[in-house]
Amino acid sequence: MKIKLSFIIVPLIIFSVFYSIFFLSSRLQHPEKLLIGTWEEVSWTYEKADSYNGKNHHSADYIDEVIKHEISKDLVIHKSEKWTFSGKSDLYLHKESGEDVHAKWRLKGRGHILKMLYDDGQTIELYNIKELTEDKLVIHFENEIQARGIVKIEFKKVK
Amino acid sequence: MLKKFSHTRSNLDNIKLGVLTAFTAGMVNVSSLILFFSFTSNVTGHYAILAEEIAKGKWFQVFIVISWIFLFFAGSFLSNFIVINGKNVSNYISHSIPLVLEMICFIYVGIYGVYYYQETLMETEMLVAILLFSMGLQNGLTASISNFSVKTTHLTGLTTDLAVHLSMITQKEYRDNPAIIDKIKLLSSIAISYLTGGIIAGSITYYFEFKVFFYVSFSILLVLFYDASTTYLKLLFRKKRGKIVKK
Repeated sequence: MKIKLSFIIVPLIIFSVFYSIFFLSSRLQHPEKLLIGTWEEVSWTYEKADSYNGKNHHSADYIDEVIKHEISKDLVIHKSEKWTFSGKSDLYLHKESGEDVHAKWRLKGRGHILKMLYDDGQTIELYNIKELTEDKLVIHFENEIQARGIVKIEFKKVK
Repeated sequence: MLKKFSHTRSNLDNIKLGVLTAFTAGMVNVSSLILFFSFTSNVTGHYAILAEEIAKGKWFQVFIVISWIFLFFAGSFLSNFIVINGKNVSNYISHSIPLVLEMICFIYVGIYGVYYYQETLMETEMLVAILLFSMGLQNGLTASISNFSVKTTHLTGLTTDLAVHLSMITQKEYRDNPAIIDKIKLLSSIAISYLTGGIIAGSITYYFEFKVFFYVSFSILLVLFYDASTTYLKLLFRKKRGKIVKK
């Protein structure tokens, strides 16, 4: 009798825990929904760099345009000031020249990795999402050119 | 490998079980890291992430990580539940059910990944959850039937135990103790096997992607078939031989 009772109680407990988790998570803001919209670059900083211009830097430093150009020269995000994420996984990088670059975006892990797949089907860029709120987005990527360390790009939502 | 329980198991039984299941765990962990950017065979990291997300107030991520940890817990719970409630039926059958469930999880992830995966976050979270559940099933089973000697996904504990036992054999009295030597053989073979599985998965996942999970289920099938062959096939041959002798 005890065994039969446990066979009923155990699935019930598991089901109720699952139900509560998914009920609560559905009421919270989903990272994919938060990301949709147009984001404008506010700043580029770098953190955890061991040496920059001959000095040791332990705190975040702002990156000027020359260094930004050097760091991002191998990345497609280079010279993009506005990023538009659409609900259909499309990402448009609006460049200074007025030209747009298209990519597909996906969130991975627990919503902390932003994956971008460009139209050539080969180029993939991965960024760590450090902060995502309704009006602020902070992404990190590792860099070993010039400013060795973690580059932090901060955005504000404009649309 | 599967049919014996607790103290009736030899060290060789534990090594065979540990090597094959740790190989699977290593493959699953590295494949899920490449495909989903998330670990699935260890929950220590998830506890650290949970604490970090709570501290940052990222409640969506908190619920996701809690559900992942709960899934691993549920897998281990279900495994031992089946083992202790199925003792009166047959050791082989009750010890095989968690592995069959694990195999179903891998096949499901493989089929879903190959044919339906659109890379949405919800899908990623669900597939990671299924893999964590399967790893919980496996770890629960191996720990339960081996009297907690074999834990194939718990590398933190394993590394600690291995270090402790290796430091013990620096003294002669412990070196002469066969139990300690057996334990070192078991722990090191599990560690090597986990690493091998991880390296193989790391090399082939970029090429095979979700199909890797079909190969992982094949290694579970090997564990099931090995025991079936040593139990039921032997019985079958004996019966046939008996009939021939009677004739």
